[in-house]
Amino acid sequence: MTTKGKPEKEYVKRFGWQFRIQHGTLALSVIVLILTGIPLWFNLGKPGHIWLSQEEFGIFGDIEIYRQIHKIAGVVLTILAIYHLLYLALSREGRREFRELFPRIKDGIDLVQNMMYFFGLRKQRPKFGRFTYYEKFDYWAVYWGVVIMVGTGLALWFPEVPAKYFPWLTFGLALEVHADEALLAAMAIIIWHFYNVHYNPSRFPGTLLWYHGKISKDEMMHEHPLEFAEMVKAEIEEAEEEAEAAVDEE
Amino acid sequence: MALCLVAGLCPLFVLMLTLDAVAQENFKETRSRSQYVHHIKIYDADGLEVDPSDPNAKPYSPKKTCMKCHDYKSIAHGYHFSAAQKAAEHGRPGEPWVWVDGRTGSQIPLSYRGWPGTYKPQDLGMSRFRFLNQFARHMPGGGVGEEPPGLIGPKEAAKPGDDSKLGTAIDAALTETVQPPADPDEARFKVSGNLEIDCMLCHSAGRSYSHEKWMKQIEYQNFAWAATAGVGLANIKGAAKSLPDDFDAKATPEKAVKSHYKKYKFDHENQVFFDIVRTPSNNSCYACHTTRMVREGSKPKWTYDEDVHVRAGIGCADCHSNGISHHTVRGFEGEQHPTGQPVESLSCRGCHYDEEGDDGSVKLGGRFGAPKPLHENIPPIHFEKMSCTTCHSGPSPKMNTQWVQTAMAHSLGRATQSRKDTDMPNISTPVFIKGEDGVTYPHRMMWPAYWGWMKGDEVTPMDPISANRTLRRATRVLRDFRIEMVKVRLSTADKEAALGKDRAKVSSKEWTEDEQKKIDALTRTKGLEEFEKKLAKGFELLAKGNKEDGRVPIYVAAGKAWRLNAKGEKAEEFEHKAAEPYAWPFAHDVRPARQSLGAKSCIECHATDSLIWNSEIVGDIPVNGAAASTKSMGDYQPDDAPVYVAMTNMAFKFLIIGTMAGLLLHIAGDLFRRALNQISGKGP
Repeated sequence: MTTKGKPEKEYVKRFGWQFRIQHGTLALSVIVLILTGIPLWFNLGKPGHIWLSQEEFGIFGDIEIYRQIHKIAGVVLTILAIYHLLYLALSREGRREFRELFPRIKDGIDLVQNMMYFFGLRKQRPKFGRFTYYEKFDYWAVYWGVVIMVGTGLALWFPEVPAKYFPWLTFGLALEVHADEALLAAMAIIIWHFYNVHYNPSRFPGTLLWYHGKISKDEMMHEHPLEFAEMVKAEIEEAEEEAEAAVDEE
Repeated sequence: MALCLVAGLCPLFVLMLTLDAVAQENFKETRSRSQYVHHIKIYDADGLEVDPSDPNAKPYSPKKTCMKCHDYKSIAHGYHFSAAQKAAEHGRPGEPWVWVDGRTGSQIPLSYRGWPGTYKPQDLGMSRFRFLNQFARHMPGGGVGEEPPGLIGPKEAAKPGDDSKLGTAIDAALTETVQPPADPDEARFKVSGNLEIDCMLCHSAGRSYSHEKWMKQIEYQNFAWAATAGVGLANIKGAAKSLPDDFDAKATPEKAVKSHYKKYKFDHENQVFFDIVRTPSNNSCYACHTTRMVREGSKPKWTYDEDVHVRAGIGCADCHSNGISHHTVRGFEGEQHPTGQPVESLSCRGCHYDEEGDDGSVKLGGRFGAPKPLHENIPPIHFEKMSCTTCHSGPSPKMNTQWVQTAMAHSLGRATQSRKDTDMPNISTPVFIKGEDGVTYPHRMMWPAYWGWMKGDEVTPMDPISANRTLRRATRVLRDFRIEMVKVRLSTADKEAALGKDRAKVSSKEWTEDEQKKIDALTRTKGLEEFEKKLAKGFELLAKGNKEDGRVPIYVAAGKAWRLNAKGEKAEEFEHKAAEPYAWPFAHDVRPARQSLGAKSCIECHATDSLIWNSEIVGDIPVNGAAASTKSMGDYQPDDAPVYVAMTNMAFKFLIIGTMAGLLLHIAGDLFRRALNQISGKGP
């Protein structure tokens, strides 16, 4: 029962500590990269007609400091990406999560059915498993983003290397792609990802799932009914097995 | 019939061969590495031996004296003498002559070579006589000093390595001349004589050749006497400048220009010792090719070394060399020598690298012991996009480009007490400009300034001397246009308005710094008003005397142009391509490798505020205080990124727009359905 008359929510574990630490590190490094990237972006004149010289930018501090912090955050992101690949390959949890995150035909069907639901052509939302198609999109978008951002970032940091081995990857090209992809990533995170996990009416003002890794059974039933069903089924099977074991012992 | 034809042509053919052989035998050669000691007789322009005891002896003629053994006609078509020849190869743009006139604020780049951005003297009404009188101070003679511009040069170049044949080819071509336009100044040559090539000006071994004496004779219009004075064979008395066009030396010999030969220079056989070197010394080249940096921030000469190659003992003529044809190699990459001789070994890369030819053959570098640069960790794209000189030559770039004075533009070499760092023209350096080949080269740059006529979109500069005859009533400039056009006296009312009644009365020495600034600002504003007023008045006067329909007077300076506004009330500023600066690449002085651009780190250039992109080039304004157009070095190095870079960028733009549109639609759909559910009471 509840402390104040409301039924107490029952929580189940959704993400382990490994997953949460990786997400936290990713979030922190990306936020720092965005915050330090914006001044660099202005200083390079990438927004188009706005260009702040280093003198004009001086009121916000030395641009070189922003550049150094940006590089440090970039290194953190790169190490995290490598760690994540090892996690996927070497840990049981990682392999299981990767299997769950792998795109399937059902994701395409879910997308179509969800669209139909949005526009009133279906009465029910599609039933999602452990990861919805848009969560999978978020996950795989990071792969694409990290490869592009780390690759072009290194090309900007060490321009002599691509100039020697991949002359087509010019400083100018790396700069354009780095800025463009950063813009896309920043907008996708702030608008799309934050909407799905924080702003949408059923979650507003946000969830602490990223912190404690737990999800309420209600939410799970609503958002991931197939996973919930499997979990219940597993629990029943476990209970049955326990009951059988108890009977055997007797 | 055919037999007759052959019979008729055979003698002609034999005659041609004989003449050719005779022509070649005329020129004496030792074929020795050792240099010939010249104890020779000297001859005047009529080909007569000079008798030093004759009080009316004519000046010695380098042409008649030297051509006894040397192919003067070949030499006369060398690079230093061929500027006005139509068929000559002029190569990439070089330093122009600058017609400077302080009274009209004019500085016009001139060249007979037709380099884009320069004007041909004859197009401005400047006769070759006036050109020589003004600029031959820093010319070695020959060219327009001997014949009017427009002569057709050699039709075909001699075979590689066959310089001796060139004279014959040129000789034949010389018979095809175009009629020069009637020039009233041509008559002056009867008084001044021709300005022949002065061989000794470059080939004198000792330090006795006086370039200053040469310059003085040019100033006196004693063209024919300049070589005699320069080499020190005689003292010259008199000035052709003061003689009338129809002066007859035979009728009044006492008034003629006299050559008082120094008898001790002649031996008992009337031979003179000419101390000659085959390869001119650096000192000879410096007479006309000296530079000095003048702008604030430029280092004193004694605090840095000259060109590293000179320091290493390499002379100018070691790289800028030539054969008897005198087609001096300029040394830039891709240079085509008129003789067809490959000259790439005389460029930076030719010496410092082994070059692979189109046929796969390797031409070994290392001339003069040139070391092969390591260029460690520098991506090869730098060597495709930048010339060697970009990093290694000239002064290092600074926030504001430096100013350089040159012998040709500022008459360096003439001893004077009135030389100023601000003498016109201001030539900016280094300015990095990307050429049509996509390669960046360091340039020197000057901003043309002149009064001119504009008809439609076409602008023609006016001859500053005749322009001044009209303009002086409007501008009232006596010496310096830059100062006098903006000169104003502030009235008491002006001072009171700026400082208040009490402070306006006190002596200017008692003004505070702030008050002085206010007065300076007011003086500047009033000065510019005065400038525009005088311009407008000048335009009115010029327009009154205009005899050609459809053209309007304009003034061009500092990258801008001014004209009378539509109402005819005041001068208005406008943009015109004729105001664009003229720039020419340079290669000297070469700095040590450790002082080259990028030696410290990549970010010397690869930084958002790097000087090679952001250094400011302020238009040289002949009017103090007026806003000049300012360019950034990056303006001259447009981004020529490959097409795939632009396409990738465009693809990313579409990716951003497409992805975000999809995601926003998804959010909108979600919100829409939630709203529907809310309305229908099904919950969120």
